[in-house]
Amino acid sequence: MKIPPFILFLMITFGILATVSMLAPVLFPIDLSDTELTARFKPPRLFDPESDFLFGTDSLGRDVGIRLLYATRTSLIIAFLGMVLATIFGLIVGVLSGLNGGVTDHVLSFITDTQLSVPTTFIGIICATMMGSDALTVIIVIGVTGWPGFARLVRSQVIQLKEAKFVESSRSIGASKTRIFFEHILTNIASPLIVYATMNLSSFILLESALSYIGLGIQPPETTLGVMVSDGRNYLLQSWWMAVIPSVLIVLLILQISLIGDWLRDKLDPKLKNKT
Amino acid sequence: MTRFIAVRVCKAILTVLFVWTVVFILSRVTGDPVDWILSEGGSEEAIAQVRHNLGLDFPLWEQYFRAFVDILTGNAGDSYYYARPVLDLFGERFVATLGLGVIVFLVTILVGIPLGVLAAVKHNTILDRLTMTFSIAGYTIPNFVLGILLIIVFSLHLHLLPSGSYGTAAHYVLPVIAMAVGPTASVARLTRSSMLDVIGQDYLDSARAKGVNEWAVIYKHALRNSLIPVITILGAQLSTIIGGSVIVEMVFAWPGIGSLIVSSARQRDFPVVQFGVMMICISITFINLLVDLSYSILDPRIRVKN
Repeated sequence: MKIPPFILFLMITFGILATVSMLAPVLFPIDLSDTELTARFKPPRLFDPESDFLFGTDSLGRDVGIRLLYATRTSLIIAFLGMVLATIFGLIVGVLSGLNGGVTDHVLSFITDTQLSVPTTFIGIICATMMGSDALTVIIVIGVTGWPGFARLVRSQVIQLKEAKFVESSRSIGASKTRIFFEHILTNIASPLIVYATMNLSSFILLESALSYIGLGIQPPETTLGVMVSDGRNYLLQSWWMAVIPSVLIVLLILQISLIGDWLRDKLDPKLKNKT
Repeated sequence: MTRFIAVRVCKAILTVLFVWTVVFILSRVTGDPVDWILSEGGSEEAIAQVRHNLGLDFPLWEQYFRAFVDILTGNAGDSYYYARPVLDLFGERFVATLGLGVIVFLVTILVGIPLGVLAAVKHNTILDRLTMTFSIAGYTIPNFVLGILLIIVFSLHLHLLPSGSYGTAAHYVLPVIAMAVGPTASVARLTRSSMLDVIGQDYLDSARAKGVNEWAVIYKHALRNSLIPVITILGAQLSTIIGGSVIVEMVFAWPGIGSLIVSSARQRDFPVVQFGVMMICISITFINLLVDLSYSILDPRIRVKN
């Protein structure tokens, strides 16, 4: 498979960003709650060559660059775990719905449709009110809001697969339901499922940063990209970089992941284009 | 036709009941609400009083119906944080949010659809490319990030528009842009692809051959046939707009329902959140119902099939 140079560039930059941010605690071991009040509001080096800080410092004198890595790390981990949860929920509902058909299918499809009609931020708000605002809540919110798309995809694939000749012949030589599921169905829906998950990772990053921005996600001193933007909102006039740099990073991450996801879809599973 | 409407209405009612059931179960499963409200622990009487105010001293099935009827009749109890009736709090802020939502929805339709038509008619020209670039950008930039960038440029540097609060027409400009760009981009993109499906078809040529002018061919013959998927997505966009209003209201310190619900969620002010979420859900379901019914006006085949 030939990868176009632009996509390759996106993959490499994303890979570097992800690796460096995952290694942040090793590369830059700091205590996130440490402050340095003598170094408040130092501009980024690009705008003030004298500055010791590549990306400037924030209102408590903390290095924006290092915090950015920690923030990206937390955002990526939360979005990824949420995605895994959404995939598992969607897989279970989709398989049950597709294999059983009938009443189960009707009920589950109704729930899927209903869920899609409630705005995701409100699901986040309900969960935060009831469970408190922390990382686990955000992961659950992503899982709970993300699954319907996965369920629809899995359901349509399962319905097609269970009528396929190779599944029928397997059934006629006496293969059990479990065996058909693991050997034929699961292996065949894995590829579209992975593509769909990649495409959705960007929207999960967006959801995480939006929830943190309104204060219903990760709480300080822990940080994510949304928390950083929200911290910077109060200092736009004197130190715009506090909000702008994490904002730009959010946009870059979302753009990278969604472009890579789109390309993967077109390459691996062009059929998916019409299905979702 | 009657049957079609009846089925849709039943579905809408079931949807609202379902959401209520989930909210109800969640609020009872995740712990005793009294614990959140009296987090430091209270006297016996205080606990009994809170239980009574919340209606927790009734059997579970009765709580389920009572609380639901209370919400529908607007008798939503008092906020713990503001110590005022929930309904009053919503009443004060409703107009601000509704105004913003209606303008954003109008912008989405009035800019998104013509933009999509333009891109389709001028397919593969620079105009088409520009529209699609805008569409990708609108899709990628989160509304709160866009809001902050707009504040920096138009309020803090150019001093053209206010950066927050509410009052004059100028206060609407930045929040409307921040909220409308995403939905407008989706609508434009879908209108374009839907128009492209229709635009090469023979019936348009026969209309042209009859001497119908080009404008009427595009807007009367082509657009009408490509509107159905667009209307479907408008329903979904509405839910995006309402969800987005929560965040954009926080960015621009907009005194609306969204910022009320968020600050209440932070205080774990449950009656406010519960009422807000149910009201939003009921309005979205109602509007989706209208969208569903409007298909049958646009496409008579749907009426017959159902």
